[in-house]
Amino acid sequence: MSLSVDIHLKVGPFELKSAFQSFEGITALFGPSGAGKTLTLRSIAGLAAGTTGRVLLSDRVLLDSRAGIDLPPRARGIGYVFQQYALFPHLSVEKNIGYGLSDLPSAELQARVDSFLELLGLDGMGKRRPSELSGGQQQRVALARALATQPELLLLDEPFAAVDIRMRKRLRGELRRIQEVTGTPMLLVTHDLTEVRQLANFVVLIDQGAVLESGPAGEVLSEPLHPLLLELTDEKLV
Amino acid sequence: MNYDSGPLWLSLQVATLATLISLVVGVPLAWALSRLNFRGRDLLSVLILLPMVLPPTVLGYYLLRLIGREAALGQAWEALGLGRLVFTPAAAVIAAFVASAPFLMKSAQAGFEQVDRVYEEAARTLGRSELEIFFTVTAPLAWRGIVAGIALGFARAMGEFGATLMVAGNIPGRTQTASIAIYDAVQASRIEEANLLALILSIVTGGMLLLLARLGRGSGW
Repeated sequence: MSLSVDIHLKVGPFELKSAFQSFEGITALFGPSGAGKTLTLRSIAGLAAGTTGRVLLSDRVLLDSRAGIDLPPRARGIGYVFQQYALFPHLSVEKNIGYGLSDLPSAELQARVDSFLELLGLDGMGKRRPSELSGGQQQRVALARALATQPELLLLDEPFAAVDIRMRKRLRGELRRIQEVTGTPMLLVTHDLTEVRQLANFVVLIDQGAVLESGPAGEVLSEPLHPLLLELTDEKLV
Repeated sequence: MNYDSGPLWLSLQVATLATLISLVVGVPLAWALSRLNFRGRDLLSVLILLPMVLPPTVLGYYLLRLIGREAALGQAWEALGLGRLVFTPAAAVIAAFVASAPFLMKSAQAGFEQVDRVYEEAARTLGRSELEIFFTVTAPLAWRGIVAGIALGFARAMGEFGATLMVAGNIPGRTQTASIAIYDAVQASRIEEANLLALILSIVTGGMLLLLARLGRGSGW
């Protein structure tokens, strides 16, 4: 898998010009608040109308505004874990996880749902409503729902923002494990350097709508070229 | 005393049909107004509101100009071999529909506007089509607004009087709805009959509202 992004989008006074590549494993889209991280994810998923440029996922063209190609979100084969999870409040955990699998025969659908309940440690919770779950459990349901469709790429928008620090540590470890088990490449938005260190194979540094630096995590983090990264790393090291 | 239950049955039938048509026409329009940006959106909004604020006589008059024997819609109806449209039960349904649909639409629109779009976005990334998303996510989450709209619209249709009188008339056994029969009874000093009809109309309409309120609270989510 390789993701190649070169996009342009104007939203009011904010201008996003984002160009980078990502590969297997976990890529962190890292930068301060308001840098355009979420907007970049939305553009890749096809949720940000008006995006121009090109998005390639392996050998598939998802967006090529010059060629007039702009696949709708449902045809992109990209999973998305929203910051507040966006679990359907009127559906059970099972129905949430199976929502993207309506094309499967029901026995197969149930088997797939069960396997993801198990993978995420949600056994026995299938019949509950999202409102009956803890924040950490909700996050796992969101992950299960997005992964159940077996997307080619999974986008995660600050997936640990809504849980407390202890839970965050645990969930990070779990995300790493799930990435390894499923092999699904992930692009993760974060403004937390600890998260980048613990999770990322690849880092894309973004600020004010532009990509400043990108490369393997080891290189980018050990020899920060950009003053902003230096600033962010210093801040977090103190 | 004996009274004729015909007008009440007619009112129930007319209101039910008008509400069903309002649902089919009104819910998609309400959705469009809450979700899409298109030219003429504001104008459409005002057109939908107008029947709520115009005097029923004005509404009735416009309807006559639309479905009368000289009017395009009336003539189209006759060309289909369906006979005259004005002064028929069908005209009563049209009047009840026009008068009550705005109530259903406004309430449904408010229901749709309360649904966070992130749920629809999540559904899109999960590969479902827009129509599927409407029926599995948007409408269930807007359920309370839609049910409240059905209740309000139905009640309004049950009580429709002015526009109905103008386009459907007051033909006993054919277009005389409960509210018109009450007016007729009062005019003819049949006070007991008016009392009884008014009471039954109040109870039936109130009961329907109660039923729908429970439905809105119970299911949905």
